[in-house]
Formats: sequence, structure tokens, C-alpha cells
Amino acid sequence: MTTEEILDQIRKGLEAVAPSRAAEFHKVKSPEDLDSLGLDSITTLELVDRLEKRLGIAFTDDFLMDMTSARDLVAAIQSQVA
Amino acid sequence: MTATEPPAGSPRRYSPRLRPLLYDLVQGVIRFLFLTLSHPKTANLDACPRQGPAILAVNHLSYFDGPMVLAMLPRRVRPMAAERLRRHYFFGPVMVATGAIFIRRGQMDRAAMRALVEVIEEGGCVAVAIEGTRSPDGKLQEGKNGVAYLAAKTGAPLIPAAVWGTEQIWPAWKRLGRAEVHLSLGDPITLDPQALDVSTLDETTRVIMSRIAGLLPARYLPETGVQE
Repeated sequence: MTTEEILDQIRKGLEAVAPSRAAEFHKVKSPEDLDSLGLDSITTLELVDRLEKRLGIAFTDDFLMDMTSARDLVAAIQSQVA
Repeated sequence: MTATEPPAGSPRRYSPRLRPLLYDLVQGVIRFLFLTLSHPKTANLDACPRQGPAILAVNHLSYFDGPMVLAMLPRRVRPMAAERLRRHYFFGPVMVATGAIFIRRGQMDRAAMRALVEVIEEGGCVAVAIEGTRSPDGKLQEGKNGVAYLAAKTGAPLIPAAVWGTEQIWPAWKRLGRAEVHLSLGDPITLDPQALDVSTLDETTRVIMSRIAGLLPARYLPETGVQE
């Protein structure tokens, strides 16, 4: 899965979690753009839950706790999906 | 560490199991201390169901808020507490003995959220500081969405709770006096468990904060008012 495909999945997940911010999410072109959105922990938590279900992957709680940027999330997804 | 493999031998930080006898013993001691060393006043405690799932959304002025809720509520309640409180010389053991669920603030602590959901789904009652931390100026702060998220996930009734006067406990003791402390509950709010989007959580948080503001004396409200 390419970075662009992963970002697309993240955009879809975010639109489901926070539909009122869909226009902002459409502008996301890189992991750094995601970081600049200033998502709170509850939004990110729900996004991660939805990504796990949608992509059939699983993150450890310790990884999520230590995750510092969207690039970490994208890399973790890339390592789990072919 | 990888994203998929838990580190070997990592300690389990959460213990959703409550030890009822230890809880009741500690609750009895804390209640006795509150009754003898302060003047506790309560209102509308019947708003909290005696059994079944419930979420108490509490404002936060002092370290004594959690013990005050534990002491006065007529049922066992599991507090959510900041991880750093676990090491406090007095409140740490109290929190551990009452089955607190410790959360790391500022991090995505999914295990703690899962533990809270588990307690609620098993019919327990949790108490959560809706502002996320103690108020730095004694005024009601902006609410966080964590409480609304728990309510939306579980469908449990959400009970606004206002605590005040607890910030005067230490100053009163220094004068060998007793502070008047208050716990007042608002009527429960129930969310549609399907309504889990951020706009709904924001709106629910605003409603709860407004209810808590309605329970607090005016001196605890921000001068800018509470958004409704």
C-alpha cells in the first residue's frame, strides 16, 4: 500500500469521525499535513479504531502511547499491509 | 518496539478488578475523615443510580475532589486519575485501593480508555474529571470530549457533578478550622450509542459543562461565561 493510499484511508476515517471538518481533511496531502490539523486524542483514538477495522490490522497500546507523529502511523500501517 | 508486538514483560498498568472489601474499608475511613475534618454538604445524590452503569463528569479544583466523591456517593465509584498521582504519598494509595484507572495525560492512552469502558459495561460507575486536570485559577475550565466519548461508546447515563469548597480544606486545616465542602449532582443525560462523531461529542461536552456550571456558585465560573 502506498503512502497516498494510506492517506486516503486516513482521510476517509477522519471524515467519518469528524464530518464537520471534511473540507480540512480533503486538503491533507502528506503525514505532516495531518499533524498540523491538531487532532485531539479522542479523535485520533476513534480514527485508529476505524483504521484497524477497515484495514484488518492492529496496533499495540504501547505503540499508540508513544506515537508522536502521523508519519509513525503511516509507517506502522505500511508495515502491516502488503 | 514495533506497532504490533507488545513488549515482553511489560507490567499491566490497569486493574479493572475492584477489591470490594478494601474499597469499603478505605471509603469508610475517607468518609469518617471528611465528616470529622470538614463540613460536607451534598445535593441530589439520588441522580446517580445505585446500581448499573454510570459516568460521573466532575469539575476539578483540588486533590480532595476524588476522595470527596468516593466518600459521599452512595455506591462504589472508580475514579480516573492522572498516572503521576499514583506516586503521591497519600492520594496514590487511596486511588490504588479504590481501583482507580490511571491515565497518561497528553498521550493516546487506549488501554486506560478500554479499562474505563470495561468497568462501565460490567455495570460499574466511573468518575472522570471532565476538564482533564485541576483548574489553575479556581474557575471552571473548558471541558474535554473524553467523558462524552465514554457515554457514546457505552450508552451509560452521564451525570454532571459539581464539587466545590475542597480547595479550602488545606487552608482551613492550617487555621485548625473545617472547610464547608459540597458535592451536587445534576440530572442524568443519556446519549445514543451510535452518535459517535466529534460534533456530537463537542455538543454533549458543552451540555455537560453547562449543567455543571448551573450547579456551581457564580464565583467558580469564568468571567467569559460557559458556552451553551
